[in-house]
Amino acid sequence: MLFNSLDFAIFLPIVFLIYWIACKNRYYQNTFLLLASYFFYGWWDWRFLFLIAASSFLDFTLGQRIFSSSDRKEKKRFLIISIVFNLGMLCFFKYLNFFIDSFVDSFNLMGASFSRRNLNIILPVGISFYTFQTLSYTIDIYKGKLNPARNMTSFFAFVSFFPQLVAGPIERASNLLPQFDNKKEFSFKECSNGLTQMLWGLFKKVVIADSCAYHVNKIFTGYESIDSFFLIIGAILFVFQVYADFSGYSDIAIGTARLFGFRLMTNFKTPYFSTSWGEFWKRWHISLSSWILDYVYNPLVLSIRDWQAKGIVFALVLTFILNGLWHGANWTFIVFGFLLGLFISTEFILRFQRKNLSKRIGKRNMSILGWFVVMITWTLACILFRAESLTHAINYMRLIVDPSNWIIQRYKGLQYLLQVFFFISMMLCIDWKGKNFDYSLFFIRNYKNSFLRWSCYIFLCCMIGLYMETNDQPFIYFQF
Amino acid sequence: MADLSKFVIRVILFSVIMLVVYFCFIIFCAHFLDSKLTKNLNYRKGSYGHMYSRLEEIKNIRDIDILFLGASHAYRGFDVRKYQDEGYSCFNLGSSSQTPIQTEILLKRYFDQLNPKLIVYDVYPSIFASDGVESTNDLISNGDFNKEIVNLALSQKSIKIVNSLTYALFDKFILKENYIEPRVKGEDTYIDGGFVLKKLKYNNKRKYLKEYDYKFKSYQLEAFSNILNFIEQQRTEALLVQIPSTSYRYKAYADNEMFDSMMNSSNSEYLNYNLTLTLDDSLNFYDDSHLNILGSEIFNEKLLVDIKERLK
Repeated sequence: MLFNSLDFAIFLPIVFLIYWIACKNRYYQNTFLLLASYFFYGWWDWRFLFLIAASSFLDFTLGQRIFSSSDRKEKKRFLIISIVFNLGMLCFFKYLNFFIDSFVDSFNLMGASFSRRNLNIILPVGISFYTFQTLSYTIDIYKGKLNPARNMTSFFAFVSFFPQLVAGPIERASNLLPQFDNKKEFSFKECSNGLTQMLWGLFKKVVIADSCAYHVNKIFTGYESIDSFFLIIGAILFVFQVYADFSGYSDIAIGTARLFGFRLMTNFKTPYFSTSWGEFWKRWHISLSSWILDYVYNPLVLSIRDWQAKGIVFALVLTFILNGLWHGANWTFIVFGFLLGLFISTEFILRFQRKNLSKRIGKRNMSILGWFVVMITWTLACILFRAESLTHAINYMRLIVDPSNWIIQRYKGLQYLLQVFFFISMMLCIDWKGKNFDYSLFFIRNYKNSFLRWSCYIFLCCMIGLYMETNDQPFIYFQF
Repeated sequence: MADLSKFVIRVILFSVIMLVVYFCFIIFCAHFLDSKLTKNLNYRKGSYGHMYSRLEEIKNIRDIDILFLGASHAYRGFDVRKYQDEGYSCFNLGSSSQTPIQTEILLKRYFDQLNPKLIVYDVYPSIFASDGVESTNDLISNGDFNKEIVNLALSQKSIKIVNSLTYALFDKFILKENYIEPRVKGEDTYIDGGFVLKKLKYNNKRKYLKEYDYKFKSYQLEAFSNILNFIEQQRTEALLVQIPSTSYRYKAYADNEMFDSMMNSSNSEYLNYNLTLTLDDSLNFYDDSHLNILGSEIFNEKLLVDIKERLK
């Protein structure tokens, strides 16, 4: 059930009304949310339900055991079981075929002859998101930062909470789990906020991301016969597609959670206004970057602190390679992660030179320069993100810089392309105006004049009706 | 609970106001904005393919020998004059991008009135893979506004169709403009009987197309089966034909043999003219899939022989 589908438009109001009218106490509220979430998840494939139930049950039990055990070694043993089970499940469903392919390819390169025999494995939707969520639960209990869930229903509802189940934000147990401990009271303000945030997310997804996707698919598929200018346009459009798609999804998820009285963490804070890579990663897919920072980068840096600056660079590159690999089982994502690690390490290595340069050219000019560097390097990395294979990405980049391809040919559908750029500009203006708020469109809620407020919402609805892309485009992050 | 009621009432009120404003917005856009600026609004009376003229003309047609059905291949391929010269009364009810779901509606709507002895239906893989939105828009813009069109539109769940339907309500019940479609539009001339004659042009396009791997839509297959069952129930003969397209377009369809066997397995006779006619990709077509007048002449001569045998 996609957020931008008719099924969800029917499902959500029904669940909303039953939740607030019929569920009179915390137990009923959590039980109903659990049932609704399982129904939502089972809509894709009912077989996935066994997997999520098994994962929830195991982590709930292990969480209790870790907490109640007084023996440090035993605690560690339970934690290892949790990590092995969750990562094992992720590796099996997501990476096994990739590992087999890479293994066969590397041995074939060395002259050995192995035949390829892939397993027919269906990737369960959202597995990368909820395994990270449950992993953080057991690790936090082990570290003594969190008490285990008091009852099973709350924990199962926390793992499967439908607004964020399939594509995040990857919630920390310490933020979301306690919210299941209290009875929710209806709040007019929160629900209105939720709807506004959902509307903004939907606009970004169906008008901007999906329209970009149409051109991006066309350009990336037929790149061999497209000139450099439109290849660059294709890469730029993908930069905005991936942002509008994922931040749009996150806004719908957070808005939906608000309708049920839950507050999810902010996942995007206008990342395209970042003036350095360090800043970018504090604003882009915050729930994943902070997860990796807390559970991978920080422990790694601590363990190799003797290496000093080299250790930081090593940890950064390794962390970002893992970040890239999390996105998908393909070498393009590994190189994508490696590139990002390289960019942020370079920024770290050049930190003193950057400070000096900032003094010389002024803070404002340095910010502009920084913004250009971030956007250009991010666009380059995004080509890898979008490409089907490394060869595809390399050929795409080669054609961009090939002087014989520096001619501007006629592009079929130019007027639609211009419309897309108009909407991208509109999104950036709104992002700029609302950059200090909870979500970009929030500033409209501050307008005292309700006519003006409603006019803005109606305008967005009209734009969705007239300009949404009608070809089905699944959310990019659903594949992860 | 009071807060919840207030919230629900507000949401309903907003939805109602939004729908009213949206209705006005669509009317404004259809009237004042160029169609290139209104991506999801394709309401065009007298659009490409002369469907308006065809549906006006058919009102006065009764009891014919041959009814032609299909998409643009049909109204540009079946030259009714050829058959009329041989003494057959006929009508070409083809329309742009017509898919089985629209064919079913058109056939059922006009069958009793036309009472044809033979139905010639042009079929090729793309019509079963298409969502049919373009053709439904064509029908909404140029045909009568009735229950069957509303049902068809709603079943397709497309915002493009909802927008067209919204404007059609205004156009057909409030504006009631008396529209007359010109017979000659650009290179196209409407010929009585539903055929559209294009000024002689040759195909200069590239001679290669990527493989078109189609996936048939279940509702199109269901509509196709309904069409054949309906024709059988009416005890009328149906002839399924595949009008020739350029050799490279034909080869681009992923599995022609499978398609042929699918058509042959239906109860109606199927003739694939891509296999029996040898046409020149440049001289007999004006683009990669449509016959020009020279190609259409060769094709219709052959089809006429085949039809004569069946109408003896």
